[in-house]
Amino acid sequence: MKKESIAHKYIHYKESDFLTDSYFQEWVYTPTADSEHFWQEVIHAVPQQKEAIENARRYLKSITFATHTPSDEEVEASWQQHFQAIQATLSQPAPAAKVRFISRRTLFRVAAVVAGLVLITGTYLFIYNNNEQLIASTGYGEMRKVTLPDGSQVDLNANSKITYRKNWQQGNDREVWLEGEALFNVSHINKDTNHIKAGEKFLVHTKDLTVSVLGTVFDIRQRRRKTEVVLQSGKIKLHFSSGKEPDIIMEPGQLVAYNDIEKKLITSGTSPEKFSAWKEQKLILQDPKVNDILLYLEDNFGKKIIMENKALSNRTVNGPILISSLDDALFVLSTVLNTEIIKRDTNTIVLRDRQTR
Amino acid sequence: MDNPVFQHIMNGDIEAYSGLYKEYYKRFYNYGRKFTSNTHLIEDSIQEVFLDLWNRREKLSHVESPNFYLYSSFRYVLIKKIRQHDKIIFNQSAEEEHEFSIEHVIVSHELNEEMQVKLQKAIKTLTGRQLEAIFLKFYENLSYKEVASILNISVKATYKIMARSLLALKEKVMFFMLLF
Repeated sequence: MKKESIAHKYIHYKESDFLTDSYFQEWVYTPTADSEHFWQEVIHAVPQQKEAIENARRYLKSITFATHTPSDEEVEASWQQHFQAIQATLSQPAPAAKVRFISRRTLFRVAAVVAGLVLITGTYLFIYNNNEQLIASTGYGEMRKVTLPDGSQVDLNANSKITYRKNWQQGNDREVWLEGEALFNVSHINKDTNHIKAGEKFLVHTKDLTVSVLGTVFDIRQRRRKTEVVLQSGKIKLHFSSGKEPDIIMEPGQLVAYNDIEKKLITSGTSPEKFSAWKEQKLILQDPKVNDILLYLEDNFGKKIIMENKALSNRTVNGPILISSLDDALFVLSTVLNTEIIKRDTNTIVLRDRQTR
Repeated sequence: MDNPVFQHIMNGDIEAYSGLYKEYYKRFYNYGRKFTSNTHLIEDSIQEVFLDLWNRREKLSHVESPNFYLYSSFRYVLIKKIRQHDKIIFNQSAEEEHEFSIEHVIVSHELNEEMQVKLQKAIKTLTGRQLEAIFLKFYENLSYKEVASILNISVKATYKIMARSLLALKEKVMFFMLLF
């Protein structure tokens, strides 16, 4: 570049123009003989810009970016979760990886037999056939993402289990058996929701009912003697095991709760995102009574929680409660209710009114 | 194909894959935190990108630059998730701009106070994209061409088009064009 054209180009530059000039940046961060020569030439051609250039250069050299580093445990946990997810894909033919997973598969086979037994004692005798089954389950305080053979995603909440067949053949309904709570994000096979052909349905069975869908996002919470279903999007049909209740077609935003003891059915509107907030490790129940929250924590973390002051159990607590850990949840709750947390033994936690002096 | 690890993955080598996953997990965690402090969104995005990578492992041979492929996929998925999340939580419109946050820029304390103030002011004249370009180019060692296309992808329609457009990248994308 000739001296005049250099002068012409850079004479009107401001500091910020130098800062954002890519060639200028390159010179500052990774100087070469060429760039060094070029910018010396610029300073020579437009000496009035010397200060701006030097400032801009110093600025760029003084900028760094904050570093965010995950812990080794986080990295490992993430890999394990991903590893589980890709195993679902490995159950479909993927020749190269077959050999490596034999031991894992045997594990699944063992698990599958156990599932078969459990299910036989339940209502699902018919599923015990030659088809191999896979189980995905979570312990207390644990969450997991599972990819089903058709690509549908399941977020499994703590202390929950899904069972499904390893091979999902085209033309057969996709079936999943659930104990606990899960959020399903189902892949469409057919976009035409008004004409569901046999074999295109996606069925989720719980003790009390069966949800059949084409492709949608919904949350099922089956705990103790109660099953709740919340639909986020799409369209689903509920069919009740009792045979006494008529089928229900659900609309997005609806909540259906079925109580096994009272055989009672409640339909109401809700915010599906709130219902599924456990995915973000937040608990948002609808106008939750303290007692509901404690039951939820018991279901998900496997500890017995006793509230000494029974009057407090019926109080309503508003706002989300963080459930990333039992300690966090209890801390929030005990602060709101002004109680102490007493760990009576490894499995029992007592909430006692704080002594006011 | 400049990354032999990709070759191993195409062959279904879990060991190699695990190493690659963990390496990129750390990088994307760092990169993603510049956009959001919600680590769940970052985690989910990483999972999604790698699940997609794994599912296409037999078709990866056309990927020219694995590094670029992963960065651009991750950025696209993360921004999408942040938007969805904001829509649900804050009821914000999806048009809201999500940018590389200026708050993660650290100014050296070696400068005197006056210079620090001037610099803070100067940094504010830079857009999130400009800062991100500097971050990707000089801290993550991506090429100009790669940075240019990564920052362009929010305009491009889909993630899948992204993968294909790799091949179609024009040779002379001028870096500064996206800075203005």
